[in-house]
Amino acid sequence: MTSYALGIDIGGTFTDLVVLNLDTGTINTAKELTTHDDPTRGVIEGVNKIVGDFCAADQVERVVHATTLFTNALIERRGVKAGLLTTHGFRDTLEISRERKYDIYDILLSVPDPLVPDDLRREVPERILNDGQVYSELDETELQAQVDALVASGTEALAICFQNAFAHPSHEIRARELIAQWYPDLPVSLSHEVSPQLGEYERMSTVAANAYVQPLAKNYINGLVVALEELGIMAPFFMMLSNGGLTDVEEAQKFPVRLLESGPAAGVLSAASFGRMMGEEALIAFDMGGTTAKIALVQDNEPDIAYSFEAAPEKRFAPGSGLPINISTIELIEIGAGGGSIAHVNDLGLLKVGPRSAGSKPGPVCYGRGGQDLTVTDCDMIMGCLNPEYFAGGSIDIKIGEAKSVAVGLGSSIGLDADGAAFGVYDIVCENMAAAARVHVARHGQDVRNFSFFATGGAGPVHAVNVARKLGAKRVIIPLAAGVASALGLLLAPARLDRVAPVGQSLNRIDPAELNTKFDAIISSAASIVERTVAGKKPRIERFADMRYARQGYDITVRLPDGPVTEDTLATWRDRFESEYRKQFSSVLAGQAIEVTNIRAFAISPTFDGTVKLEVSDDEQSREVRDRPLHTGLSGTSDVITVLNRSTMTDGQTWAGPLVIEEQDSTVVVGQAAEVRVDTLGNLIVDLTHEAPAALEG
Amino acid sequence: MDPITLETLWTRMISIVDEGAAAMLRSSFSTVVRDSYDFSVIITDRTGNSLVQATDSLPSFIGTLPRTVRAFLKEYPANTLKPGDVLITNDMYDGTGHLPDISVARPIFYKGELIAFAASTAHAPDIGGKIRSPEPREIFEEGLQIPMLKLFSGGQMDQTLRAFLRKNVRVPDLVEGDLAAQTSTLELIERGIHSLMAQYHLQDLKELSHEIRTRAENALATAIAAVPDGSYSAEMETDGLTDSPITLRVKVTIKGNEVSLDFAGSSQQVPKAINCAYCYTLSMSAYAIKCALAPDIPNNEGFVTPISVEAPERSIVNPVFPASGGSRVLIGHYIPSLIFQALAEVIPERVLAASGSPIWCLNLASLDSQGRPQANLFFFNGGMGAASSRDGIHCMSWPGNISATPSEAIDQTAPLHVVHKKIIRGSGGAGRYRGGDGQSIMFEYSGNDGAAISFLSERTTQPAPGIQGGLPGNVGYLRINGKDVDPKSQHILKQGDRIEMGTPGGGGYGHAS
Repeated sequence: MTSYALGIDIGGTFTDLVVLNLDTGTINTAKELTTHDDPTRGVIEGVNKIVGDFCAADQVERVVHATTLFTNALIERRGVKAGLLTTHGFRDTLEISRERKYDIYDILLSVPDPLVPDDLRREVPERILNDGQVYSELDETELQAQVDALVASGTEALAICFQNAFAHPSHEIRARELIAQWYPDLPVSLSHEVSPQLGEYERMSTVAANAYVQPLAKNYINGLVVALEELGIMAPFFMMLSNGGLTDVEEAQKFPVRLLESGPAAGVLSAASFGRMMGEEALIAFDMGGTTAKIALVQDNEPDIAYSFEAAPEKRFAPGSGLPINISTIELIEIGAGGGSIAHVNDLGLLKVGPRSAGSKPGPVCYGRGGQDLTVTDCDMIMGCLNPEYFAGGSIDIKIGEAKSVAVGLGSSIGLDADGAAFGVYDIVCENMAAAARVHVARHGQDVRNFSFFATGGAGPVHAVNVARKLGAKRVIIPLAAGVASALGLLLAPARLDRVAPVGQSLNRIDPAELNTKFDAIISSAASIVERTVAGKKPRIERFADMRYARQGYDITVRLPDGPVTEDTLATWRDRFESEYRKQFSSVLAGQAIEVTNIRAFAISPTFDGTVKLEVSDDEQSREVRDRPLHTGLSGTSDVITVLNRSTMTDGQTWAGPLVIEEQDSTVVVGQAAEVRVDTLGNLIVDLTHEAPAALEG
Repeated sequence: MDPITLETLWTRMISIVDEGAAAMLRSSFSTVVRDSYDFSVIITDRTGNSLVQATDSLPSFIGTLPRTVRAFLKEYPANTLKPGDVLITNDMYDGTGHLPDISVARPIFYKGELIAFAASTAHAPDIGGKIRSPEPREIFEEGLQIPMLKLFSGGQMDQTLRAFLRKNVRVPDLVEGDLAAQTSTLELIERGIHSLMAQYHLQDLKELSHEIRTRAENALATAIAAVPDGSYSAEMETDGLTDSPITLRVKVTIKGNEVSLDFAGSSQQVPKAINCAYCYTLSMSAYAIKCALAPDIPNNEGFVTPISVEAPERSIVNPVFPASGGSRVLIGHYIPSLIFQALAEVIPERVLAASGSPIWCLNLASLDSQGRPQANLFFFNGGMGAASSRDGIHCMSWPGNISATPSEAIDQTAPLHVVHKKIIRGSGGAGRYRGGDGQSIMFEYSGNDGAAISFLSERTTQPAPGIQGGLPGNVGYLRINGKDVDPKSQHILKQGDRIEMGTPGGGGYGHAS
């Protein structure tokens, strides 16, 4: 019997579903509006559309899920009443936070309220010092009194964060044992389990966030699993972690804070999977939607991982203004550049775009729904990038005249006509994204010219070629089914699980035997879950070490040779560290001692080895398109240029820019000096052939 | 230059300098850089005019550092510089006003021409001398003075200078590690600028520099012109020395689109290390003006040049050699609040009540169990002043931007552990909007007897005033084993001693109803 996998991605606006035929690679997709009051409803509607017609419910052998619900619960403060227990003397840590402004000039700046209010933060006498010495025993009587008081005030979930527990967790563990006796149903999150890292504020913030969303996560996941079972889908259910790993229901419910970035992670994994199918190892994954653009790097077919994250920023896109969350996530940057981003002229007489967005309500001026501010989408229309008759599949009646008159108004204040202003907005939003990507690539010590640019999201393909050109990238890829990239990524991504163990020793004092014991423990833990996910296959293991010069505050993660640690392999660690260090910081410090802070390992097993195919409807294939002019800044000509229907393009042919390619969920805009082809899978490949005015010199 | 090209290049320059600052943070060694962010990174044009600064920069250094670059240029004119050179100094007057701040600058050449400087200042974890307190009477007591020298010449490090530096500090590996982080950051910035020049086919940065500065100058001029003409004065008393307060006076004059500040009437310089060098006075003045009048535009030289600052020579805000200045922040951090107090008369909605600053700091010199010297410094903040539309934030660095060190990092790196760190509820001044609260931090000393401890602490007698009828915040306090101690002197610790710092609250805004 043919078997299938079901991917479900719940985003802020849409719930995307993909069913993948595991034998043939054929996919079928559905897009539903997210039903915020009860997210499961949107999922069921989507499942009803594709499961049944396309495959039988009992043919689904695996369900993989990602969601932004928990992130949104933090942003909208819709979590439960969570209580917090700290070491005596530290109940204000969340409120004192870092004592530092994220904007030095803004005297009116505001900081986020702690997730746990004053009256639900309580202290317990206990103290273990940095060296492990028990300075004060855990006061169990006082613990009980404080927990009683919290429960009496309605606490639904409890977080515990004791000083130095990242290294010495015995008091946290003992507290949980006792609380389980007193209140067996009260969920308890321990800081050393959620985030075993030095720094009490960040660790406390992380464990508080975990408790804050934990009951929601538990109910929601249970509800979804039951709803799917009622539809006859009894397959194992997995959730995507922020770092791209997969996990089972049990771990997802215990550490929901690790799921915060699961949706965006799935999108980047989708890029990595397509890269693997296409033989492209280094990608800049670029996703541009209505409000934001997200940018991530994929190297050697693996997304980069970051070890901290900030949730619910007080000021959008201002780093430092949110709640710090110590989790490993696929490293991506998010900037306020989307189709709805609003253009304005600032006090210096400069044209600026975003981060304010018109969103979907009122939306761009051209939607005719009351939007008064010129947006990126308006400018895309004015320039001819988008086809007013076929925007969002023809579902919105576009008022281009209104967009133009707003552009005239804005342009006149800086001496530009409507066309000039529109091109300015287009070019600036592209530069904003290019600048963000450039910083991101540079931060990894990489050369942007070695990356292909992988574009998804509704607005991504409209701007991708121009952004890539600014960056100096040589190739742009627009995959098939770019509109549901994240949901597809859930199914294509290998099952991966990461584990970490603290070491905290000088490199020259490492004992291989001791290290191998630690490696064995984390590897068997990771491998066992992966083996449950992909039955019958032995996962591949990769090993890493976090290293730093002694007394530095940040680690560099270094890939280690496969297999157990020996004196011989240990001898290569310094070189591996220094070569990575040189890459990032330009020079090494000869003679400084090196410290190994953690070891890491992951187990990984491919879930799908084939290639995917998208079936396109006959209606879409026979839809006619008309050539039209495109702004000279992009096309180099005032004549009409070629417009193609993507579904009629086949491999073996090439087309030269300038041209515009229309498809159901997006439009690909290709300027001059570019060559376009379709590969055998149906992905569009744009090669930037010449050096264009603003491209990097060789 | 057309507005779109300008915007593109400007954004790119900021991203280059931000990238440099991120690398600096990640490769630094001391808690003062990585936890407290006591450093800044900027790019100037070829003549030392600031072009862009890292978003995470300190109000003080972004004002002083361009002046330092210009001072370097006086000592080492352009024709004496070559690619791979790195200049260094910690001069009190041409640097930041005190010796622990080490400034470095790298000239950036493109196609054989000097086009820019990448520069950085960072607070070193130690600079030798007496552990920092207001006690030193002359600069010679305050540690190593590094003249304007080339740390690198054509990419080669000066080993003599390096040896001198290592020999004179308590923690040579940390000091050298942070300095390496600074210099490699400058190299990363150079790479970024080179690729920008190539990509946009630029020959130099003259036009960009001119555009950035004139736009900033014009924006500031417009903002100044919107403020009614007149002279607005304020006066503030600081705790000063143990026996005598210090008076600060300012007159802010707005005339058309120009602003001038005059500190005439402020106290004379003193034989204690709280003298605030002119460079720091200027920097704090420019910061206050920008906060009040043009907070939204990326900072550059254009926001400094139009502001004229007069401070009488030999006064506490413009001392002369050989005055000491290690604790100059104890005067300098009053300046923005003083200026705001003056401006409150005319633009009350754009200023803050005084904050519970200057910043508080603990300095500790001790020996570890093997008898090796250790130096630690940890910062803590009081409450921020209230504004016209919101309460002051509790425990928030202002006007500085120095983060507190995590208690667990203190426990790990110093012979101290934090017993408690809590908000002193109600310590902010009352008002329509309340001042932010200060905090109490208690430490227990666990090292060997005989360690020296000293502090930066102010507003233990003079509270942060409110404005527009708001009440002052609580004063701060400093205790060892429960007894108030002289905040301006060094103290010797024995094992088990308990030190408590209580930072002041911020002032309130408007009458409480």
